[in-house]
Amino acid sequence: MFFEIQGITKRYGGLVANSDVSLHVNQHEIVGLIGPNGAGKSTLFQIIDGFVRPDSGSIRFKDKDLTRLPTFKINKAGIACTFQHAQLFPQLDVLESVMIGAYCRTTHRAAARQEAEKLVAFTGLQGKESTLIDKLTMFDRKRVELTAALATRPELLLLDELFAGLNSTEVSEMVDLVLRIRREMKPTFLIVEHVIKVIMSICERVYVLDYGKIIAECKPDELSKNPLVVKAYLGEEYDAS
Amino acid sequence: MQSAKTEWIGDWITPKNLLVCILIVPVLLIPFFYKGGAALLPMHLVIMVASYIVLAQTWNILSGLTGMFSLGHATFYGLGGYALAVAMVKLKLNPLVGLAAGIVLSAFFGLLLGAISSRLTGFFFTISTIALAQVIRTIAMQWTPVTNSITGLKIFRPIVSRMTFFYLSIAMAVAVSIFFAYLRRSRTGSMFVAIRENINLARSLGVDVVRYKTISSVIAAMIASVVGSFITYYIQVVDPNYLSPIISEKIIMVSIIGGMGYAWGPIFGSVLILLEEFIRGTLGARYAPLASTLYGVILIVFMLFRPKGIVSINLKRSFGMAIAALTPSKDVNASVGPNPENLGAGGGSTLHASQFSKEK
Ligand SMILES: Nc1ncnc2c1ncn2[C@@H]1O[C@H](COP(=O)(O)OP(=O)(O)OP(=O)(O)O)[C@@H](O)[C@H]1O
Ligand SMILES: [Mg+2]
Repeated sequence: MFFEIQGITKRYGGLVANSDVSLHVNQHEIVGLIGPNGAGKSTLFQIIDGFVRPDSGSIRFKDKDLTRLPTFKINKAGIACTFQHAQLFPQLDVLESVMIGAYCRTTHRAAARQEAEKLVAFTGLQGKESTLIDKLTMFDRKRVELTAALATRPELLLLDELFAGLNSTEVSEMVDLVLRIRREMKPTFLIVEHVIKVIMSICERVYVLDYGKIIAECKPDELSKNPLVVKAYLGEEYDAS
Repeated sequence: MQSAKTEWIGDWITPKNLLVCILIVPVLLIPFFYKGGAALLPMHLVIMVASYIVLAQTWNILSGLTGMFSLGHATFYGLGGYALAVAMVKLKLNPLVGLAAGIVLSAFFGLLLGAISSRLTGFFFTISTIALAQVIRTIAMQWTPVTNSITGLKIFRPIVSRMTFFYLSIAMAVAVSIFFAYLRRSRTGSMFVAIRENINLARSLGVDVVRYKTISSVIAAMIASVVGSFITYYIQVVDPNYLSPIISEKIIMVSIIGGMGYAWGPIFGSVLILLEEFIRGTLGARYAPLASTLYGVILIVFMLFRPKGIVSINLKRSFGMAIAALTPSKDVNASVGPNPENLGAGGGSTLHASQFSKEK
């Protein structure tokens, strides 16, 4: 199995953010993870990234147990992520931000720089190499975050609401970028997304999380036919009427 | 493609850096300007300024680059001083053995600080640096058989001309400043600033945060210790004042007012050290503590108006008009004084002067 999590549970006091969550992702797949606000999607990502320790459960990646590893080792193992609230190096420029990712795989400055320049051009940020992050638009920031993650040469990319806060032109540009990344670098994706159009257009399989539990696993076009999913999104009244 | 080496050297040979090289020449000639004893005081001032440049550069590595804000940097300076003096006075060893012992001892405490920083960040880390400094200082005051308590240790050494100390101190300041600039642009330097800028993002990009924090504090500690040994050998006495918070404050002041995180920062900020000596010289030793008051005022003024220090002052804008008035040529840029980012201190390999000045 390429990537598999089993029985992940995480409690915050009385609140169960993740309850016995199990899912898997096959190599080269694009899998979506959706669910209403507060369903526990970001919590699950933080657990996979090693930022949060689960109360129980395990995470396996290419036959390696990642469950108790520190974050940087999870990255070295081949998993990179972008955060729901874009995380950046505010006072560094675009190129160095990406180089820091590239240094994950090389110790040579010239090699890291070359790799960063290549990726910056690939994600459409050329010409902005020496711009400070502080001065970038939201769209560019999200692209820098994605580019830095790519520079660590991930085999599995976790994208937490990468498309949130973008206008529709930017959303379609970002969709194109993700598809281009997939074609040329062949990573596997696990994507948390509220923009349903994105899920429909790029995901091959979707998990639905509600109150910390996986309530459905299906193809994107089957979502609207699943009564549990409809209920989770629209609430009980819809069911009653 | 250019090799990494030529790219680096090419980046450094700029008109402004060359200008600084030229400006340093009169300083190097100080011993020959004055006749006999008159050169001693200026040389002493340069030795102190150069030593503070080195100390501030080491603090700049730890706090400016890596974001581990230390208020106890005198610890390493004092350890270097005491190691040398104890080795020479109590153990009758060669001073170089003392120097090495100081470096090893400081490296150990640097490691300790690194370990602490893996648990404590921000404010709590800062508090722990104060605590560590206090512990070491108390030991220096109380462990009388070894340290001679507040009297300190007086060392006897063969006569070494002040000129030797003078040139040695300048060589150290130049070497450590260049090392800082080199470090800033290296892989290690990028790891340091990544930790400072966003520790969680750094982690998720594969940065081994604990390892690089430790490297940063060990490097800073070892170099600061050398300065402590150097000054002790020069002044021929070490006492608990070496470990005093006032020393830590001065180091921080020089670095912050110059510009935290930039190679030029401590160099510009070190003029402050002259202030104290100037007051001592003109008003008498009784008024020397006045300098501390002035440091405080200057620090507040800078925090309010120039939080990024002297390096962030736009020389082009400030002096541009004056220079334009003085020079017939239209090329203002070429004739402006040293611009801070040329030593490669700025954010990354490609930070340009224009961005610098846009920063507040
Ligand atoms: N550190 C924390 N301490 C306490 N409660 C937390 C913590 N982190 C998350 N939670 C709670 O866990 C639940 C799941 O949060 P999470 O951020 O994972 O949801 P999400 O599915 O990502 O939601 P959204 O779509 O709004 O991003 C929420 O109720 C949240 O308040
Ligand atoms: Mg979320």
